[in-house]
Amino acid sequence: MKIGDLTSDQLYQRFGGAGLRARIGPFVFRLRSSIGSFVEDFGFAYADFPVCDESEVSDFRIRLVPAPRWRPWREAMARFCAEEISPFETFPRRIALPWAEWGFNWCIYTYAHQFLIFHSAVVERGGRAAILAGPSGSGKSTLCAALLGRGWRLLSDEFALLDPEHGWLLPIPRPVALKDASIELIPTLLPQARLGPVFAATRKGRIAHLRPPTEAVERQAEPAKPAWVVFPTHADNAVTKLEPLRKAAGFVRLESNCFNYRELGRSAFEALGNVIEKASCFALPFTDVETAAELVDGLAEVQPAAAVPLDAA
Amino acid sequence: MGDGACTSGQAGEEGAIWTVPPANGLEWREFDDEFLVYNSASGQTHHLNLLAGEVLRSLEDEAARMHELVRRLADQFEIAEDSPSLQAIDQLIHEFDALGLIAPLTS
Repeated sequence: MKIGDLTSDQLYQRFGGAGLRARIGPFVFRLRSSIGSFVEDFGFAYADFPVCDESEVSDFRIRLVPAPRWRPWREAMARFCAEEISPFETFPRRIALPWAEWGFNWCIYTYAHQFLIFHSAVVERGGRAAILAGPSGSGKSTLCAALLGRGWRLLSDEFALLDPEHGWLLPIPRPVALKDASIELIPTLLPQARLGPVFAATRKGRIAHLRPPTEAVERQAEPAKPAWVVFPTHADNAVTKLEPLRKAAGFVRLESNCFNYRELGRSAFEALGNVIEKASCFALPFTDVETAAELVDGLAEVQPAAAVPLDAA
Repeated sequence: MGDGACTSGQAGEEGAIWTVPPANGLEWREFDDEFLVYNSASGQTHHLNLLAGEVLRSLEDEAARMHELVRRLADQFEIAEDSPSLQAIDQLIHEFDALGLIAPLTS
């Protein structure tokens, strides 16, 4: 059963009772909340994700709870809790979904050390994945969304989850967080885009979530091998071009986008080295996202999928 | 990634015998004449050019005094011991020592 198959009443019952258990990538999240707007927004953005039965152990137990507003004229507030930990200050309830997304990120990079985790979007074509690595504001989400419009499969908008032992990238196709001008731009490049509500005045500006394509969610158990590592950098006056990087430079740049390199130590060094050894690395300064997506698209055409073995490790 | 730091008092001593402490358990990757080396003792990864990588590998293979190291590298690269590129070894030794990649042997 998918989350979208639940009636509105059933959805509220689950969130208000023992919790909605959802499989999101390799994790099971158990979510509880009495905040109606959050339940609605989550239900739309995650409609295609499977509901887990009660027997499945949850990796993360999340609650979004009302918080005191202190002054009657202030807007209603909420708090994000993972188990008994509240990693953030309170936030307005009207922007609970963006905060929940940041909270999910916090859970993953704080606890999921079975993976080497990079700050990166990941898209796949023909079994081979492109890691689009960079900090917030580098344009990776916009580029990722534009590549979905060109037929690439979404593995992730936020994290590359690398299985250090086998070298697979595991999908976690959560909603793509579009910011500011990208909110109006992406539907022109991805006509089938299903955008949720626009959240104004968040800590990262205006945000809207692109609901992940149904196929990406249905294939969230299918990993991919990294074939390209691309470092997009959006700037207003950049000359858009794909610049090959020396592998050692690619290693250093990808390591700088890793959340838990030090925690994993030697196995992180080995796993990252294995990625770089097999992947081609590029810098991608860009102004126009359509041109940037065309350049990344060209990588898959230059190196046809049949030339690369898809053997499981 | 590791970064440059201060030098130790012993680093400049002519007679010091330099070695890679076994506890460092260095792990290596070589990409196109550049090296990435992971130091298990510090948890740091260092990005080295060809000369720096070969100096460190040489000391990992066998401890050496500065002049012995210069001779080894000169033989390996087939260049003169007083060639400009080998003049940098003294500075490299200082930096490797500061980063904890090498240490003087103590009797």
